[in-house]
Order: sequence, then C-alpha cells, then structure tokens
Amino acid sequence: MLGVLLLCCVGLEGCSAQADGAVPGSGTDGGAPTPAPSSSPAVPGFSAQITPTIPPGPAGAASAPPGRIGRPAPSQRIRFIPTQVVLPGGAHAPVLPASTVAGQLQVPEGAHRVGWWDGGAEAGDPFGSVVLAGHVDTKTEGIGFFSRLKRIRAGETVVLHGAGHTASYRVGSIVSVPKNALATKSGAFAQMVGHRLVLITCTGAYDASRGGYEDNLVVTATAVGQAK
Amino acid sequence: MQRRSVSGKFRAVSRGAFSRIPGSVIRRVIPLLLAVTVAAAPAVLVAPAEAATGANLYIVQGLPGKSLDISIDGKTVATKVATAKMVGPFGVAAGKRMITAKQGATVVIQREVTVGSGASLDVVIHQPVSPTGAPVITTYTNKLDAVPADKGGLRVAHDAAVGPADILVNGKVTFANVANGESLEAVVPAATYKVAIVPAGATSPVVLGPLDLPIQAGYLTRVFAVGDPNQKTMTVALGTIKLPKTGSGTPGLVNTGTGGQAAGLDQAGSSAADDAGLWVVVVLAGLLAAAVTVRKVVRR
Repeated sequence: MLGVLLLCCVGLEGCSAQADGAVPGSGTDGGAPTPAPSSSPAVPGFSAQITPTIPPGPAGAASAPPGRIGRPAPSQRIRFIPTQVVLPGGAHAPVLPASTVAGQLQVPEGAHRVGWWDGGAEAGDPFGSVVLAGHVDTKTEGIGFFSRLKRIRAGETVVLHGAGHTASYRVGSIVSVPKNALATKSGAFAQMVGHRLVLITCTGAYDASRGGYEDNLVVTATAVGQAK
Repeated sequence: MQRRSVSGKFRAVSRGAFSRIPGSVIRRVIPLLLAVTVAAAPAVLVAPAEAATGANLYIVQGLPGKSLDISIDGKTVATKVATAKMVGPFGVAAGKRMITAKQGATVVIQREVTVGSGASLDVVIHQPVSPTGAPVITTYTNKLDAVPADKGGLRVAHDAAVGPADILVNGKVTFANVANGESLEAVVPAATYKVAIVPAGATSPVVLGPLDLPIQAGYLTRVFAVGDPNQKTMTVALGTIKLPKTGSGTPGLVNTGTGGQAAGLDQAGSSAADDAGLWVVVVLAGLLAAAVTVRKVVRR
C-alpha cells in the first residue's frame, strides 16, 4: 500500500518536476505575473497564469503572518570536497579533484599531490567511499607523497580538510591487490557502504615493460564521528 | 502560444523520465500515473507561463483528514488536494506570495511566503508539534546541487504533530533529533532504503515505518513526515526534482607509480617484506656489534 503510494508520488513528481529544469530563459514582462484573458482558459476553471487578485500594499487584504522558514536540524551533516590530506605523523599534501578518463583515474601530476575521485563520496557523507589516490613515485620526481602509505598502521588517524571543515578517519585495513582487480575485487570505489576513506597508491614488483607496479595498495579507514 | 510550445517541451522531457523506469514498474504504475497526471494538469499549465520569472513553488498538503483548495495570490492553483499530496511546480514571481488553503469556504490557513529569485521552494501546510494547535506553513528551499551519476539527494522534513525524532535509515540513526519544522539533507547512493521514524534517543514506539523509500539517481527526493501518531494519521508526502550531474565513472585502473623508485621500500601487509625488514634488523645489529668490537679493539 505504502509502496504504491510512494511509486505513485515519485512518478508524478518525477515528470511534473521536470519543469524546474526547463525554466525558459526569456522573461516576457520583467517578472510581474501577466494577467490572462479570463475568457480563454485551456482547462475550465484554470488559467495559464497566476494573477494576483489581491492588490498589494497596506490597503489590500493581503496581510497575513509570514510562513515559518524550515531550518536544518542541529544534527545536519557537513559534507565537503577534501583539499588537503594529513597522514599519521602530520605530513600533509594538497588534494585536487580527479576524473576517470577512458577507465583510468587521472591522478594529478606531481609526486606530492593527491587526487580525489569526483564520482565518489564527499567527506562527511552518510554513505560511500571517499577515494584518494596518490603517487608512490614518479619518473622525474622520485619518491611520492603516498609512499608513506607503505608505513601506515591500523588504528592510526588520517584527517581530511576542505572548505574550513575537518573529517577524521581511523585506519582499519591495509591490503595490496593486483592492479587489474582493484575495481572489481577490492570494493575500493563502493558507495553502497558505510562512510569511509580509501587511500590508494601502487605497490608490489615494478616492471616498466609491464605497466609499472603490479599491485595497488589500498588503505581503508572508517569515519571517527561526523565531519566538523 | 507560449503555453503550447513549453508544454510540448514538457512532454518530451517526461518521456525521458518514463524511459528510465523499468518496464515492469511502468506497467504497474502507468494507470496511476495517468490518473495523477490528469489531476495535476492545472499545475502543469500554470508552471511554464510563469517560470520565466524564475521561481517554482511546490505545495504539500500535510493536514490529516482534509481536502484543501490551494491558491497563490488569490488565484486557485489546485483543488481538493488530499492529505500527503504534493502539487506543483507553480511558476511564480520572486517576492512575497500569499498562500491560502481553504476547505470549502473556510480558510484553513493563510500565510505570506518569501520566494527568492530563481528559487525552488516547498511550501508545506501541516500541523504544529501540538496535535490540537492551529495549522502552520513551513517553507523549505530545494538545493539543486549536482550529484554523481549513481547518487541522489535526499531531504527529510519533520512536519508531524510529534516531538523531536530520530530518522533511521536501514536500521541506523542517520538523522538525529529532528524537531517539527526542521529538516535534514544528504547525498546518498541510489537505492531503496528502509526508513523509520522514532522518538529522539529511543527505539520505540515507532512513529512511522519502516517503509521503503526509493532514492532515484539524479533526483532530489523530498520526504515530508506529516500527521499525528496518536491519531494514527502519520504518513509521508514525497516529491522529486531532477538534479544536474557531476563527477566521473568508476575507474578501472589507478596507476600511481611511474618511476619504480619506491619498489624497494617496505610494504605493509606483506610477509615477504616483514621478513626482509627482519633481515635488515639482523644485519644492522650485526654491523653495530662489529662496530662496537672495532672501537673496543682500537681503545686497547
């Protein structure tokens, strides 16, 4: 019964709500409601425009108390796109948004910069993985910032900052997975999970002729409280 | 003329919306959709003509046992709106708009709401905390921020005649201590969630639910809890609005090492690495012992 009600409402609003996104850009009369010819409503009883019939101003009958303005509850979660990551020990690096192009995450250039996957969760969300990927090394700059993940231990804290907010995570697991199994087996990008932070870099044997490192190092950390 | 062209556009968009719904669902829901679409026709006709002025109003009828006629600035926009129904969007000019709800000839409530330019606003007619109190009107601004392709926006508003509540999602308190007139929002993966409302800090009695709440990818779903648990009139009103999309797809590959310099570093979680580390310690200890021996020798 409720299910039917829900589906019904969603169906209705899903289509009628389209008008929200289809607002015509051309204003016709500078913003004031246009009076409709009263003789030609398309549907009996309804005209195409909303015409004020109550004159504005103190003389009109238009005085009524204002409606309440809905407030966010005090427990409203803060969410933010991370712009800095702080690893255990205090070493920090800038975080930049990173997109997937042709199936590959475009981690920002520079051994000391970290990418935030733009299709994943933001810090503070109730569900989903916040995914950060960073270089273990680069040809030109040598050892990278995320080489520190090789020394990270369960129980240590990783902190994200962004837009004046902070979110803390406690490291739970550290695993290495074959690079070609990262997306399919590790769950690193999963969103239908409790909120968590996933840090990714490369590890294992290095063979330049076979695409570099053979494994990804995946560090998973769970949220400590809500983002502030 | 303007009306005709815009409603044509509307029809094209709604076909797109339907095509995203699985076939089996369409078959089950279409008769209902037809019925409600006809009922909503006035709303649709009003919206495009006024949309140029920038603001959209949705009106939620949250009063149990009432059938309300709704007018905006004195103009009737919907008649006989049943409990837990949402009507709209109604395109209006930004500024102060008068909302009047009548049952027959009786004015149930009349309030002035302030509408920002370009805003999308939900206007909820509902009971206050006290079940015997006069009806109130609360407005909520719809945040139409972009979401990733597989997620949707969710906003839950407490508009029921009951004290502060916790909202459980899949059995876990996801939104805590929400009072009448307050709301909470989040971006969540598209899925069907089990949602229940309980008194804040308690697990019973369940005020509402658990009920299945489908969150559609790419839409903002607004949920309004209305009614009075003591009168067993608790229910929800729902509405969705399409959101812009952001973010990229799931990566298949993450290449984060192009130099090879880190290949010699210790690796966490690898027994081979631990063994190597142990050997390093042994070798270092050996060297240290050797050095001490050498110093001792030199002193003699």
